[in-house]
Amino acid sequence: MIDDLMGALQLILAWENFFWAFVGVLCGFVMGAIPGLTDTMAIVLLLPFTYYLGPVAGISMLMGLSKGGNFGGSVPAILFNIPGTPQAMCTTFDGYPLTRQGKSGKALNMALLASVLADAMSDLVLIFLAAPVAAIALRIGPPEYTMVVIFSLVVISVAATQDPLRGLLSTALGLFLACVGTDPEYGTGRLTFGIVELADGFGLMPMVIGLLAFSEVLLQAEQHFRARAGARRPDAAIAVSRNPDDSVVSRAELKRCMPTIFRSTLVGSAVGIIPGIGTTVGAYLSYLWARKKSKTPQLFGKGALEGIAASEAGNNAVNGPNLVPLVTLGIPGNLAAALILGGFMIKGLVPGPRFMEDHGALLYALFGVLLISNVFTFAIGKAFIPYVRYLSAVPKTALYACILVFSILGSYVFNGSIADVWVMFGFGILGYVLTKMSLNLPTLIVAFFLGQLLEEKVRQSLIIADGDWTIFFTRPLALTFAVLTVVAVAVYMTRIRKVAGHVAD
Amino acid sequence: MLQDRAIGCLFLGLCALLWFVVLPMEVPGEEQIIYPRLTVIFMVIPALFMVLRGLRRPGAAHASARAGMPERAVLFRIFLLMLLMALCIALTSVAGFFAANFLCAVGYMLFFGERRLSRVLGVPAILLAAIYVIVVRLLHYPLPEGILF
Repeated sequence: MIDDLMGALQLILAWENFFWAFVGVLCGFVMGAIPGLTDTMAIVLLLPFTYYLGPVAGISMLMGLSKGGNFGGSVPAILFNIPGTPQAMCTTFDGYPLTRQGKSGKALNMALLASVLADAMSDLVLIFLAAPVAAIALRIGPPEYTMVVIFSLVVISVAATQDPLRGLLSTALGLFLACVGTDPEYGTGRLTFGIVELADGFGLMPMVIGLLAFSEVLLQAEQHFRARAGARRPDAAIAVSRNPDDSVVSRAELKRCMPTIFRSTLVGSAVGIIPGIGTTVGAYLSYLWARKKSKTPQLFGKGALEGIAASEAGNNAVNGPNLVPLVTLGIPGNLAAALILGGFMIKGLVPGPRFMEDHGALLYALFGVLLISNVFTFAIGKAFIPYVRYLSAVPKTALYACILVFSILGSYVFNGSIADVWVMFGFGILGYVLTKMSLNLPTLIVAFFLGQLLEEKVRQSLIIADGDWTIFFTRPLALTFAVLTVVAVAVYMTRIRKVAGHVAD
Repeated sequence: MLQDRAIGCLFLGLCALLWFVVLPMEVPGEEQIIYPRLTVIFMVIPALFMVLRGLRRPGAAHASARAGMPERAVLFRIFLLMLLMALCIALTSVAGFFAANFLCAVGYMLFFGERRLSRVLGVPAILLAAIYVIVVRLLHYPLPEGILF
């Protein structure tokens, strides 16, 4: 343990790890602040370049992208009533009214403070929870592991989508696509149709870039062509009050919002531990609770600073705990975590129960960089708040062209193969078609990432049980997770969704 | 708006094709085929429920804000964009990454309705120059070269 901490300290103090975390936060913030780009697209487009960085630097950059992007998403939500990321939806409720009152600076500063404080506290939750959860994870066998993965997949399918059946269908498709390549036990090719390039399965990067970047351009192009004339210009003039107090958060205001930030961090952290529930629900639940506890609930929706604090703290607090299942079990809790898992895989690292034992120094170094990244988010946010409105005026025509060029570049550099670029192209079209059917692409991607792990654990379980499938229901912990899966789905469908719908109305 | 029934039937058809044709042909061995078949069963269950839901409530359909078929003119433009992208990928191996992507980036911008020449030429030029400096010069990663560059 002491050796790991000393090793981590050395890694943390290396300048390149700081530098790339800073670059990640900066790029994430800029891309999150541009309407049409999201934190996940920032990770997707820059993920291939982490291949050239060291493990800590590369993964720090990805985590920085996620952190920066998360705050960046609140910028268009506050300035233009357009949530830059889905989780910033609640921020529009009070952020935009404040902008209309000329207090956009105050709203952005409150969003920044709430984001950074909640994010830092949620990182502490991750740091303190990771070791105990990893210790428990070490004791579970393949049947229990199988049921944990199934639990995660089913909860993600149900919670991350509007329609559970479509979520499950997306998950099943993702699991099937993960079968393409070589049989892990027998080494025989399967579903490759004789294409040599598919012997290792679909490339992670081409697939993700195709599904998330290229298909997104196709979808946005459709909207662009549909409403070119009637489109609202996001660079419309923003009223700014001349009173300097309207551009900052006073001590009294911060003090008033602190209980809300703590409460929302608690809600977000609790939500974050469960895979799939995600940042949007974290923000909704926090907002609801803040309104209930507020002495001035009538101000919510009209420019309440507590509303912004609750929404931003709630969605940012999900980030740290969401990494707990990733680093301890190898199970990504949401799309951003799945992409960070991709970053680990690029480095040849496989997060799971033994990860903390085998790569303790690296993991503690990542935790350290995560905490430091919050300082970067604060500094970058503070420096850019007066200028962020210009980011939102980036012309869509240039944006689309850049994403398309980056899609080709990103899918090529991973293996240096044009075949990967064609795979990206194919998945882009598939992503477009599936979105037209209202199927869920993030769910499909998470299932694709978990497919290999699930297959490995199912096979190991069957070998242990001599082919007896009842092993998944006769061992107490496995059965517990089977029951938990059913309970979690029932609870989600009857309660959480109703609450989220209520706030959305 | 796409109906549950249609999507369910489509996936049921896909599952039948996978189960009876593709998997026996592409996955050798009885033990090897078990897991891929499990994933197909996992696909059949929600697809079947979607068909049943569609039959019970013929008018009911779930759709996200981005679902649904676009008008024919828009669909044609989307198809053209896909074609332009395919052309760009094909050109990359012939003309090289930079030449092909410069031409296509200019094409994308014109296609999306950009008419300011400074932007149409400037954005691709700056983007590709940045890629050249970072990827080729700093990271020493060779990008496809062709007859032009």
